[in-house]
Amino acid sequence: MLKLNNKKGGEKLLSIWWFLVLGIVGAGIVVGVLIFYSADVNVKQTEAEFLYNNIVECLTEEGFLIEGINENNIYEKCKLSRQIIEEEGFYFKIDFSETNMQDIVKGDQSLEELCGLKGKHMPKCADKKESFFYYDKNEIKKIEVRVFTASNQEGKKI
Amino acid sequence: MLKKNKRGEILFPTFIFIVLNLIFFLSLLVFVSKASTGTLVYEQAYAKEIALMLDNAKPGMQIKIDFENGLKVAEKNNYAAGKLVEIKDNFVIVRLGSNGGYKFGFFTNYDADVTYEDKFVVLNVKEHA
Repeated sequence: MLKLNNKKGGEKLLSIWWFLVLGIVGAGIVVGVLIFYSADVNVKQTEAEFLYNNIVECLTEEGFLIEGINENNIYEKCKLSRQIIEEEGFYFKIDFSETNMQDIVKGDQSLEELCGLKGKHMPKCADKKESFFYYDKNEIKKIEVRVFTASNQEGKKI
Repeated sequence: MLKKNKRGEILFPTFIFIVLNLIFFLSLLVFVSKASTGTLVYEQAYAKEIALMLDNAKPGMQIKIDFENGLKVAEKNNYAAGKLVEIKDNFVIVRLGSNGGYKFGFFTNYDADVTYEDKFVVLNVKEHA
């Protein structure tokens, strides 16, 4: 009777170990396959550069800075989607400090501080100065405008 | 009566053990075969590629994208007749199977009509209606 009980116990113990080994092997295969096939295509840097180009292109006409661009009409003038910029992890800042125009800041402002940090979920940025001609009291001046753009769009599996 | 009990004790755990093993190996096989079609990778890659093109597009442009690999994956998933690429509310949605898809935004405020020509996806960029 005692022998029979021990045998049963041994079988149960074997089953537990068997399923534990299966679990470890299965988890290893699942993790390996997921890592291999879910390789992320990171386009954040390219997006930041493209956003920079779009903004610079709409700020200028024949080398002159377009006046009248402000926080209220930037989306319309530059043909940008408010919804995407403000809800999908974008940010841009146009620094007009050499003119009498107001700076323009749109999107998720926390991205500016996170730029440069390493990590899969960190934003990528473009930060450059662009030269424009600018009318100041009927005088043509050459000024520099700093444009900072950032993207942290992750995309969604639906 | 005793015989019945004894058989019940021996056969039932063995049966459960075999069934659990079969379930485990079958689900692992299904998972690996589904993942190895590359659906997830291709959906993501095409959605991002199309979104980047639309980020740089202007109304009136026509963009042709080689979609051969995407079509192959969709055929494997029996989804070749489905809506593979959709442009909606500034998002590109790529579906290469009946389960979900991948969604990625483009920041230019334009819309695009999607048509298919052989192995190409053709986007006609236009202003929002």
